[in-house]
Amino acid sequence: MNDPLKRLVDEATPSTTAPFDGVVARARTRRRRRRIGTTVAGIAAVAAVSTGVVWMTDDGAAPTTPSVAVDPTTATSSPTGTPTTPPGPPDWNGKGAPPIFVHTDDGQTRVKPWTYCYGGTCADGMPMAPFATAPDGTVAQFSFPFTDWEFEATFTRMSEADDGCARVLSVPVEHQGGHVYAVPAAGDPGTYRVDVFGRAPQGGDVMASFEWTTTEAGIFPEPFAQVSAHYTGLELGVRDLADVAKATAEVTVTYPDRAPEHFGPIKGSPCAGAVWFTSREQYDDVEPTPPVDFRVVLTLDGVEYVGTARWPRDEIKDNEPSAVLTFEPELPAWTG
Amino acid sequence: MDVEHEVSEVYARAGRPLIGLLTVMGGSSADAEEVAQDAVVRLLENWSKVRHYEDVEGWLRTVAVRLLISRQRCHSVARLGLPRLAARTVTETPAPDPDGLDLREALAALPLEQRAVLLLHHVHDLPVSEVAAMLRVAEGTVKSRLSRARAALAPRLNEGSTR
Repeated sequence: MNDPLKRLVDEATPSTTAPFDGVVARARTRRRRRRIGTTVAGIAAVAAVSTGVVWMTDDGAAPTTPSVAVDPTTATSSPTGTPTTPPGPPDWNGKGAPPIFVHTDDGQTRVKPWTYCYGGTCADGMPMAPFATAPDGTVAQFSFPFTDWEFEATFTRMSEADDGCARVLSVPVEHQGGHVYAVPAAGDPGTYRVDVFGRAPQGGDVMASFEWTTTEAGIFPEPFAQVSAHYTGLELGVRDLADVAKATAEVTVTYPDRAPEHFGPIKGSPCAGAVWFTSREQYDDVEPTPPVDFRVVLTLDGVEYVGTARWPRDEIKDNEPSAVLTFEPELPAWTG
Repeated sequence: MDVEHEVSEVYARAGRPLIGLLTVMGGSSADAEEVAQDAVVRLLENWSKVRHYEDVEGWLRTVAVRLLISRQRCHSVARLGLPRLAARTVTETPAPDPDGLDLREALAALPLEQRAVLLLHHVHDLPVSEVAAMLRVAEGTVKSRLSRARAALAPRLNEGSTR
């Protein structure tokens, strides 16, 4: 399946590249622009505050499009993000994907999801700066039109947003009753982009982002490992590990009706506590007969950890057919 | 070795294949070259940290893909990409074979996000979980994009396939 695509990429690969000097010149220009941009942004921020207008992009529109509705009448918040009066349903007309309403010192900031599947329509996008900002604190709150959705929040340091190897932390969001949901701080204190991912019980999801500076250390997620071996070949992923430099994995998959398969040793590239392993040696579009047993020997910086999982018993909801692995000894956790 | 020399070596090694990937993903070799250079600029700026990574080229690819997607969304090019790509393909790619052109046109008809997951997963052999992290979307989203892309391209991908 890969060959025609690889051929296409090969054909599009140029025989030469532009001289590196041009790249260096580009870097210098970018630095100059950034210096100028910082000055202009400072002036613009002062102007925005003085006119009471918040500018941001939450729907992929041009960054200068004003698209945030700040509603001071819906709720009031303390500087730590705790509402002094419980807000009712947020002001949403039911059209399009349901937005989240980030609680701010001034009320609520409406943030449209950049990825969603809702009402028979799916749209995929990317988070785009500038973001709505939640007040500094240890809990950030948002309101949502529905009261029965489940949310998860993923934290990425704003300073590492362009970093291909940024550490990301995912924590569950607490439903505080009514239309209010609370995001707890995660990791060390700092300024993060928080991606909120919500799922409806009857199907449907939204993903929206805001910026938040946490003032105290928060939750450090436990290491998590998952494995699957059909549809896309072998995939093994581990995240929220302590920093590791070298990682290898050997995986044995045992089936009830055919010979076991062995993968590896496969070398992984650890990156900010996450490491993925993949093998396309086997590629099976047919769902295997259950139960399928996985045994993973993961070696992190010379230390062996043995993980096991049984599919479908350990299948991860909404991430089928991946199964969660249990390790002995426990995987090394990141503590900041 | 100084920073520029070290980064120039990465550029010499990874630049051409990166431009190839971005060209097919985004539909324009000119845009691809510009995005690749922007990504190398980011590499220059972050070299003190990134140089210690085991997979520097993976970092460069991640940044480049994010820049490409961000750029196309910013400029609303994604909506116009199909006719642009179809128009440019013939002139920008030297001597395409008929089967390749057919696949290229079919690929161009896909949304950029579907093209991205397809190429990263099938050409660069990145697992779904890593593509999800790279594009900052849920794994389920990557799987559904892959599934839609595969379904759309299935007849062409199977032509000449070794699997």
